[in-house]
Amino acid sequence: MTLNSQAESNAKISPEELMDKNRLAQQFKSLKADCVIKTSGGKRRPSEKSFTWLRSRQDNGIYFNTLTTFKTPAEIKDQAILFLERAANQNEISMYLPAYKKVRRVEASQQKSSFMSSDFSYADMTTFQNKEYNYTEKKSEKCPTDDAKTIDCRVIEATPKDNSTAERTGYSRSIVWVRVDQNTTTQVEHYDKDNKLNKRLIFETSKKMGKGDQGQDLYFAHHLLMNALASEQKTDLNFDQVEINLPLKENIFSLQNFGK
Amino acid sequence: MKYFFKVILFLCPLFSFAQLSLNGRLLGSGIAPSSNTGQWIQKNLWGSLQVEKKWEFKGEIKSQIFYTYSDSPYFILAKNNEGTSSKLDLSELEFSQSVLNEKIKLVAGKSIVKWGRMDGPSPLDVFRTRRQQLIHPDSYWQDRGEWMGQLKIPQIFSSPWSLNVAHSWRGEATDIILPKSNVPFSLELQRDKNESHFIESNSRPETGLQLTYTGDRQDFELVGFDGYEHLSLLETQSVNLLTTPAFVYLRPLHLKKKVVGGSWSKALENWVLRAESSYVDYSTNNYLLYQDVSQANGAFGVERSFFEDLRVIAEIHYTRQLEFEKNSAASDSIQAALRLANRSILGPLNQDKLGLLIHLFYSQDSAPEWKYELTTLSYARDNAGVISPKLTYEWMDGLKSNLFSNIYWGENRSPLGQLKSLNAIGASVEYFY
Repeated sequence: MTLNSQAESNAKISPEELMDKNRLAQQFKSLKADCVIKTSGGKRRPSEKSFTWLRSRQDNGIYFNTLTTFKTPAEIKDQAILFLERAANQNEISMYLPAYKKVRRVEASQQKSSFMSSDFSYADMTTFQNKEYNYTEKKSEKCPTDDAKTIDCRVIEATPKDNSTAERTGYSRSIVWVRVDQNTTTQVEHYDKDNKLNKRLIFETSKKMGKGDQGQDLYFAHHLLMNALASEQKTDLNFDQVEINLPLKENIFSLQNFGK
Repeated sequence: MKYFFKVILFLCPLFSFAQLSLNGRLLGSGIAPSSNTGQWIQKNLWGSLQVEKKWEFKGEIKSQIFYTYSDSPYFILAKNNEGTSSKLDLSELEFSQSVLNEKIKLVAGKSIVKWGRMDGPSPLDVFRTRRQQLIHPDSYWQDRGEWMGQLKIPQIFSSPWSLNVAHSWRGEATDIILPKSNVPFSLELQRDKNESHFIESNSRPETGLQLTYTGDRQDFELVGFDGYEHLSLLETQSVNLLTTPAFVYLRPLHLKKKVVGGSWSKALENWVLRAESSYVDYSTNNYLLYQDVSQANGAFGVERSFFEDLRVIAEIHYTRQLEFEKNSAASDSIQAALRLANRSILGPLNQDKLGLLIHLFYSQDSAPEWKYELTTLSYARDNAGVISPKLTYEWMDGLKSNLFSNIYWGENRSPLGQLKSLNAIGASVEYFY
């Protein structure tokens, strides 16, 4: 299927089908990257942290395990955060503190809090779980991001099916811009529990990374920009040295492997 | 001293990582005459430096230099002031190599200082009582200066169980920062004067086993080890069989002990629950008159966050002295005298203890450079405790300063109450490279 014909096809399918294709477009078996996260804006002092990012799809084919291990600054060297995605909002997030060789578990209600003092939350760092949302189409328009301005996007509203999802993420609803040529997300606007626009996440530098299990094209955005609108703060998350479908061993993503 | 730190700062780029900490007392008294054996000395200036170089290949070699400086020891004998205390270790080395297969790892070498260890107490370490820490050999196997080997199996047959077996080889355990009091100093002990004394201790496991289960949102750990507790201990040397002991000595000793214990934690929707327990059995030692001491410890605590910015940890801990005075090797009359001696000298330690610890940590997402901490520890029995507020400001990545205080209260004879005259305010600067 050519890009044009794919775009035409994607312009007609239901929001649920589109979001499922959106999920498949990022359905890597595994992924490894070097990351730099920069926070700036608002009243906050700019800061920068670097970490390695390992992500592996679980056997169920839907959920992922993710391990972030920080390299700099020295104060948090070797600090690691393990995300084990689970169904029904039972994600398990654990933080390893190397200075004490202890694991600190992050309770579910805390997953909407800041990820390492950035504008991303712990929940933002996990995969968007399609099955937890109802979708309605708002409109179609040109994509709002700079690197996809000429591309058509479908604008989908995702509303949590139950309160526990909203509780975990801190978002009452999200508006998602999906570009029809790649089925990838270009922008997400998150609304807080008072239905006030809270954060805007922009996906940039989307690159084709290969083929997935079903022969679909796989894409990965190498730059994410999260704008916290109330505080006028922003966080840049850059991915470098991205490799996909590496043979990552399952035991990498275990608490037992922390600090070993 | 300042030239030393300047040189170190200049050399920092040669290392993979470096951490420098310099602390000073701004306000408060420096001396507390805690007993008739000596004095507590509040430090005026103290600091530490930790640098690390790491080489990675199939395995990994890490080398560290760790330096600590203090212009006075924590505790001095009345006639044995050793003054400035400092220690430089240049030979810390850890070698790690995967062997047999990727599921088994051997770590050998001279144990290495944990990275960032001197960066004050973490919420998790505050959570644990001192005694509870003794059952966690993973922390103590990392004490400096011990040659050790560890066998680690992160997942036994891909199960949620992991195993860690360690053995350390050493000669005589040595005190790290506190000055040694090798020369016995004798003084008369006043009858019926029931003094309390802090007895500094470090746990030094020789052989230990750690079995950990990690499940969904909960884990538990079983630990057992055979080792030593390194003590600066009061010792009765000359005993009048019918009355109280006539002389006491303060000297470092190594007390043989066995420890078994366990810990458990579980994350719920809004809470993290933790519980720990341990049984500690001290074996007969020729140096000691209070022999066969054993105790049981238990702790239960909760963690939870409020309003996303405030984290609260609360813990209740209890220590039960099971045996304190038994001396099966001595005659009845000697045992009677020893019981009396133990009561006189160590009576305050021979108490069941119920303590409460609360730790508050506050930092706003919109201003993460500011961190506010408040820690309180109190004991019901002697109505004593300490409250420690701390304010941290991060100037830039790698540079932060702290303002902190310790305020003690309680009866003069109690372990914390005796430090009332050491109430102080201090400041520190930390640099990370």
